[in-house]
Amino acid sequence: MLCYGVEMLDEQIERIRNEFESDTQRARSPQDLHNKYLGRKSGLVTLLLKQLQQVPAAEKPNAGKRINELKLEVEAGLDRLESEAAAQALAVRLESERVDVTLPGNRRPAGHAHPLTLVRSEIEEIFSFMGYSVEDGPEIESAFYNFEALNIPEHHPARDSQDTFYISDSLLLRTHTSPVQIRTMQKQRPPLRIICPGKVYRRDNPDATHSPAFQQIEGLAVDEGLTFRDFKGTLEFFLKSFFSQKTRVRFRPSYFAFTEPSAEVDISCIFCSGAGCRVCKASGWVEMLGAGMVDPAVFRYVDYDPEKLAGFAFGLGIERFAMLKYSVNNIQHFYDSDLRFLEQF
Amino acid sequence: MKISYLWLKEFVDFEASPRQLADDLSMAGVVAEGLESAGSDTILDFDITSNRPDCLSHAGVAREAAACYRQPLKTVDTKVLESAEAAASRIAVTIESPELCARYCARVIRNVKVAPSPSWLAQRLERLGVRSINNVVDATNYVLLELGHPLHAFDLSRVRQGEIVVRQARAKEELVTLDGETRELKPGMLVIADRERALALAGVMGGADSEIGFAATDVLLESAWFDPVSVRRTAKALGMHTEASHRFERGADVDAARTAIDRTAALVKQLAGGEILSGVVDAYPRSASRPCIALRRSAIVRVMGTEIGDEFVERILAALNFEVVSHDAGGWRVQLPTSRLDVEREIDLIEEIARHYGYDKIASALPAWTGTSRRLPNSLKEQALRRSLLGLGYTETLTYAFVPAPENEKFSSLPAMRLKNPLSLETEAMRTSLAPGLLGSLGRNYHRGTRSVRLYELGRIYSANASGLPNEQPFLGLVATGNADEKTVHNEKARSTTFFDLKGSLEVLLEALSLPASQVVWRSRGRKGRVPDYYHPSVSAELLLGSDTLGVCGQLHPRILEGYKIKQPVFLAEIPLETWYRYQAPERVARELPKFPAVQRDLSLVVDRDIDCEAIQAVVLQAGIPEVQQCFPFDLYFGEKLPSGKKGLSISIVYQSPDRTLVDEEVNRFHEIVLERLQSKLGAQLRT
Ligand SMILES: [Zn+2]
Repeated sequence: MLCYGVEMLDEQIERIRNEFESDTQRARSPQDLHNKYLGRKSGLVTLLLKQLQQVPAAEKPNAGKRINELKLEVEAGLDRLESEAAAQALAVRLESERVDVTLPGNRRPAGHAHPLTLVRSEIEEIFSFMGYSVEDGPEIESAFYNFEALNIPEHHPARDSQDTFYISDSLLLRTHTSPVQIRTMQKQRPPLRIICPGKVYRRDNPDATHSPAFQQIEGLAVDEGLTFRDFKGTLEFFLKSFFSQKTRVRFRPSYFAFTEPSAEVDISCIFCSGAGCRVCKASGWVEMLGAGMVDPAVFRYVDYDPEKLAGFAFGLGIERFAMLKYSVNNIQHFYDSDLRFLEQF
Repeated sequence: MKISYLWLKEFVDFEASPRQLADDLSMAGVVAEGLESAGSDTILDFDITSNRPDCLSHAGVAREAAACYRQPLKTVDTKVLESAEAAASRIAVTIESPELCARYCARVIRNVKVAPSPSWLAQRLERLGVRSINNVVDATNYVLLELGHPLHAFDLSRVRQGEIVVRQARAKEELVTLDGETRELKPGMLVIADRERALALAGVMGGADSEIGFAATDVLLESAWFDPVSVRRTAKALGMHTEASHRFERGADVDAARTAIDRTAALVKQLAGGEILSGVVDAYPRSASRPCIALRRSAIVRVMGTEIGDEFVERILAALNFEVVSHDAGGWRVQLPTSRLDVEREIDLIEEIARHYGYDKIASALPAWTGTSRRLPNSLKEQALRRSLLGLGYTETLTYAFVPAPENEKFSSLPAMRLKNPLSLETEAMRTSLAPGLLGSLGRNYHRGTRSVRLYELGRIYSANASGLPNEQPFLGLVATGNADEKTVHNEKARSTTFFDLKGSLEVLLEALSLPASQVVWRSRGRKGRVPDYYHPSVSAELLLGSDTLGVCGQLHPRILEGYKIKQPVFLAEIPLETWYRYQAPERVARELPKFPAVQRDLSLVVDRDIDCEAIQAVVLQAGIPEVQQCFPFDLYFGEKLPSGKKGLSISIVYQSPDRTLVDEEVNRFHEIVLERLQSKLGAQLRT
């Protein structure tokens, strides 16, 4: 028996709403619910709408509005249910596609730069920042450029420390890159700031700390008014930039034929911070460079006026810097081409 | 140079411990390399630079310590108690080569009793690394360590006719030296002789015949000054190096010759008794007086960048034996001592002051700079190559530039420069090819068990030009062996390296330097390619750009690999970088993007086996159809389904017009024309 009272309609709406509510909470499929409530023939909301015709005209608009509200609620509920179901299905599919991200990446292995090349570039970078140009020269040198022009005449005991490979009486494998400095001074007038990286050769039998071929970087600055203070400041800047700002730098008097005053430059040991260890032979200091103010005699060889100009020069072994920087304990590793070593860089 | 801490203290009073002393002197440039205790004493091992022979003694190091600690330096007692008979009655000295011997002092001590040294002396010497011989010889060695001046003692009875002659050796003259070796001498070598024969090698070593044995009774002491270069030449020529030669070749002190001989004579008498004959026979033909030089205050400031007080300057000069003879407003005039031949110029004096002032007391500064900085001309290109090589999986290696000559000759016909004094005959040739080094490196890794290796080296090769002068050229070498792709969890099958992996790498490198890879032609041997015979005759190529050779590459000939015991294909590429660097890449001009779509059509062809891809592409591109944009192969087939001597090659052709969309009929027509051309020019057939 149908009832036409407004109250009765309200009760029905409320009942359907509650039923829908509890239906959506039980996991029924969105399609089933659609049929149950909005099905064209027997959907509960559809039936309610059909009853509307029997409502007295005065109450029709009000009743219609309320039934419509219910319909909209049901539709929204069904939409929500559908998108939830779709999201759920997608999540299941994506989960099934999970990969083991701990497997190695798929790549062709890259090559590795040689540690000496890395160190050389870094040093070049620091000096280039200070205005130094890079210069180059032959590895097979004349005895004149390698020795005489650097204030080391024949039979000078300083030649002892640089046992030399000879090609002929006048040709040799350069024992340092200093000849490049001379060649550069001959073709350029000051002011001058250059570094000369390259391979050099000494007739040493290979062992853990010696190699008959190694790489050097030598540097030279010539200008009016350069002093020992500038020399110290420049090398301190370089060493702190290369190692760390905390590195302490020490200058000790020494002897080189082409500089005067000459210095050995030490840094505080980077392994023990100066406390003393095996690397620094317990001294807390490690020798890194030989350097000094350019000897006036060298200026005379290249026709610079030693009363007007001053300069400083320095030389370092790239292997030594690389050994300290990368804790390499045998210089032979650099020339042995062992991939197990090279692949660490 | 070993120095006894206690002995040093006999010369100068100071409080510093051995460790402290070592540190303080090192900071003044006299470097102690190590120290070890010896009983109550400590022995410090100094590494004396070659300019400082004056520090090769206890007195010399003591002078540095005295300057450092502001203490007076004590001198040794050189009083000699002489007997009445004159030394000159027993010995005469004639210097025939005054240019090589500036001074020769002789003393005679008679009736000594040669015996083992007392233990205090033997122990002192032995702790400093000198073997004790007998009391007379030990006395000379003691004074050597004490004052730094080398002395020699002769058995006077072996000096015939009582005359010492200092002369150059005669050709083929022989001398048996103290070490028992028979030395063949040459003119230019200075000897101490009597009228008949050589007795000693001046400044290097005594002779066995005149050595002081236990039977000797009369001693002739020698204290001389020999020319540094002459001593050095002689010692080097004979392969000798002695305490004496070490000092003479660095420059001995001509004044000390006299002090040292007196000190030694007194010591011999104290140890071995006997009478010291009166007087020193002192032949001193060539004055060794030294000049006075100026030291300007302004020069000190100019070099050091800081003022050093007069009081300090004068104190250090005095402490180091430099006598200030006068001073004025500008500075000082300084008398140079005979003990410091290394100091000749104002800058040398400045260094003396600076090292005692302390380098650490001089404040640092960064100099101003207004110039620019340059890279090496090809450095950016080199960087681009290196970056690409890393991406291509090549690891950089560095190998020695000297290689065994036969290795070199296997890979190059360039004339090699040879070392006169190689470390071993194995490594006497300067490399004229990077191949020996690279293959050696590859081989070592292979034999360590690494089967896939890719290495590159960027370095110079060295050859002799027509006039024998060196020619250094930068080269790039690549070697590869093993798998191009490894079997991994992602990749079911490993793939071996082929020629085309290498070719692909080289194409990447060409592009890295903006060389026009598409214009580079690849010529194998038999196709006009000049490929050396250490390459596989048919899997190798020469790269050409115009008439320039850009390199050679390919698989190595199996016979070459036998020498390296490598049992898998190895690929090598050799690139003359100068040619690559010389190429000036044209400025890049961006092309307008096409407005109309491209159409791609394929053709599967059957052609004769020895028709190259390049020939097919040429026919397609030159078919007279401007709409042909590209032609590239995508499949290559050799197999039973084809007649023998034929291969299947499938190509894709891309047609495109800049001003319209191509319609099917048009493209069909183009495609037919192309096919006809391929048929008529190359005998190609469509594969069915
Ligand atoms: Zn340390």
